[in-house]
Amino acid sequence: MKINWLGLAQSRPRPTVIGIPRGLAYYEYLPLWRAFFEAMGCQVLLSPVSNPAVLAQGKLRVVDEACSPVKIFFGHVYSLQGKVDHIFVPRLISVQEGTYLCPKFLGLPDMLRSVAALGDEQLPLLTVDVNCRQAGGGWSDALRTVGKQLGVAASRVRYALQTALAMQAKYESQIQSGMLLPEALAPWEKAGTLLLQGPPVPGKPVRKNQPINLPGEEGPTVVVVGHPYVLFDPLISMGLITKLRKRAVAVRTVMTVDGEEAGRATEHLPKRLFWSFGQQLLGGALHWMGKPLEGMIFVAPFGCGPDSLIGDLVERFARREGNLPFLLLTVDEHGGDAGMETRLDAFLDVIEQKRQVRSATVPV
Amino acid sequence: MQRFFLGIDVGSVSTNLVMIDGQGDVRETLYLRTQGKPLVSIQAGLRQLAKDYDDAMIAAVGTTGSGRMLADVLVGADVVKNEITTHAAAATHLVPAVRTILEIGGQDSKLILCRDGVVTDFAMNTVCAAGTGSFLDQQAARMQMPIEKLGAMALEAKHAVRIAGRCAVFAESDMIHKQQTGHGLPEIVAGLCAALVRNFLSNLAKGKRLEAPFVFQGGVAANVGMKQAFEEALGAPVIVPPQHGVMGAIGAALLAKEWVESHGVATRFKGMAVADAVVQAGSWECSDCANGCEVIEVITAGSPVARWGDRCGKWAARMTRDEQDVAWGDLAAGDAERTTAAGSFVG
Repeated sequence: MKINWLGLAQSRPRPTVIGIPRGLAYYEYLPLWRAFFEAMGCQVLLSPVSNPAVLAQGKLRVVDEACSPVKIFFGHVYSLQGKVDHIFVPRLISVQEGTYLCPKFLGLPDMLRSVAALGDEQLPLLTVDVNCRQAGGGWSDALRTVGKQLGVAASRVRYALQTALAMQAKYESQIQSGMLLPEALAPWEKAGTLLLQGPPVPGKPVRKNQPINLPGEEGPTVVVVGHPYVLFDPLISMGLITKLRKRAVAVRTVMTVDGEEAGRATEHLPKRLFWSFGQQLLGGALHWMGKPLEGMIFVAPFGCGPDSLIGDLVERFARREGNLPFLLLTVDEHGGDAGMETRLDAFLDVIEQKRQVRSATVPV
Repeated sequence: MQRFFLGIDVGSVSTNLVMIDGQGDVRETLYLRTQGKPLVSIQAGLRQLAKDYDDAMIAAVGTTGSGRMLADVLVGADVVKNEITTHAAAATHLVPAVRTILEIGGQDSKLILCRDGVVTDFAMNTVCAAGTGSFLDQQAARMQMPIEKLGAMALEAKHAVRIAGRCAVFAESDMIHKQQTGHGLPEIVAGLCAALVRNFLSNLAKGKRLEAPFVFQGGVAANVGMKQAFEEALGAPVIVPPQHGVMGAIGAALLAKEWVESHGVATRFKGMAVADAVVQAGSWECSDCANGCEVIEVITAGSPVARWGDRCGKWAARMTRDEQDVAWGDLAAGDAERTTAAGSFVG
């Protein structure tokens, strides 16, 4: 019998299939989750890439007054229904010391359960609390609990957890070194990547490389501030990143800023921000403002409570820190992208005019 | 021979054509209602211009507005620019000292900040069209009053009644309520203008420093009641240029002029003959994948000349007859879903 480096037999009886919805925390934690489940011998199935049909399914079921990313998340969960043994929807309460996630993340499994109960449907949710505010309540404890729930031997769970944390650290360091999230995430969107990676090498992951210079970036450097589940969902963001890169913009995101840097950037604020993702957006934006930049775009879903505050804060700082061109893009379930094209073109015109004025006034 | 520059602004409510001369002076302005048929209205405009101008006199063409791509396909433009940049170009040309541009059109409202003739910041209305020209149009129709008279009526008011301007639906019910309780029409109209200005400023000007000189433009700038309400809210005079309704088209013409002059290129203009070309625009929903893109197609003489709206780009790319056979084969099956109507297109 052939055994791979994970110690799993290559041919086994039908493995347990875990469904992962392609939304919300997916963009931050897919490598962790996928590596963990696969190292335990489970099979992982992702929901399809966001499309209008998924959104329509989500809108049909979602509770009232949810933001578009939550609506589409519901669609992703339901698109896995009937195809998998478990749908993994962890309850993210706190992933960073001293902060919480937004209430929609806290109530996600409950909202799904209540909608399923109303519709008299079965949703095989596999859920666990992730709460750093309690001793040992972080991802390690959460995943150990999941392993137990699935009836996997403790030793196997321990090994899977170690592997998964190493893969996640590698993923995060790739993003912090400047790789755009879709590129770093791509290998984890297909099965088998874990096996190709080989056993994790002990020692610290590579940190803070020089920013990668991508080809076709002769345009201005623009930082895009927004939740990964908004920016990198092709439907919600209407392909914003692609649209910018087509216009030769050097796109940077706040994902390259780590927690420490974000913390330092917000040190001077009178109060700590309550939400961890919000802290990442605000801290990341403020961190970038100290660097040579030509523009900043804040992307907020129309129904997002935290973003309505954070977007405004970031805008005020952008105006205070001199004349950094700033664009607030509000996205919802728009069918057409003409409005976005108009705003992007006008914004890039503003940057271009500023370049021309500068080159005209600076003596050569 | 004198050279002229054509600007075309295809908006949701009006299609405007202007002609400027080599000095940048406006020589001709046409204001036509789009009425949901942008291609037909552009052609009608060109037909009028063809009486006084021939192809050789047109040195460059610029298009703008939400129908700018469609206009480009029809006439062949040198510059295809967004509405914000063109409106700013026109305002800084006519009022060089301008620092704040207030623009209210049919379905959009914009705030543009300039310093030394350069745009530094802008904002556009987001999800809701409350407070734009279409809403004023509706209210004038409800009160059975020509839209042109609305502004003059507001000036007759002794005071402005408080109207909720946050949402068009609430504003309307508020106005009806005020009418029923016995307030005079001029006071209600003045209140509506004040509410729209309040809405504009709280939506778009939030956190921005507005400095004089102010220029108010767009179709709604014709309304003297709105101008007065802006002046009261801002505490400063507001300039309404005589060409306020066609500023987008003027900006497009100016940018086209700048483009051909700085690049020394010949115009891409196809000529006045396109006014009589048989052009159809239509759309269909592609069912090849779950995205269900709404593909827009422009057809002349039986063959498509432009397509857009598909995310993957395969329809936009598949343009020659041979490559199209597969596509037409697919379409034959779903012909019923295909809605191709001569010149009908939502701009």
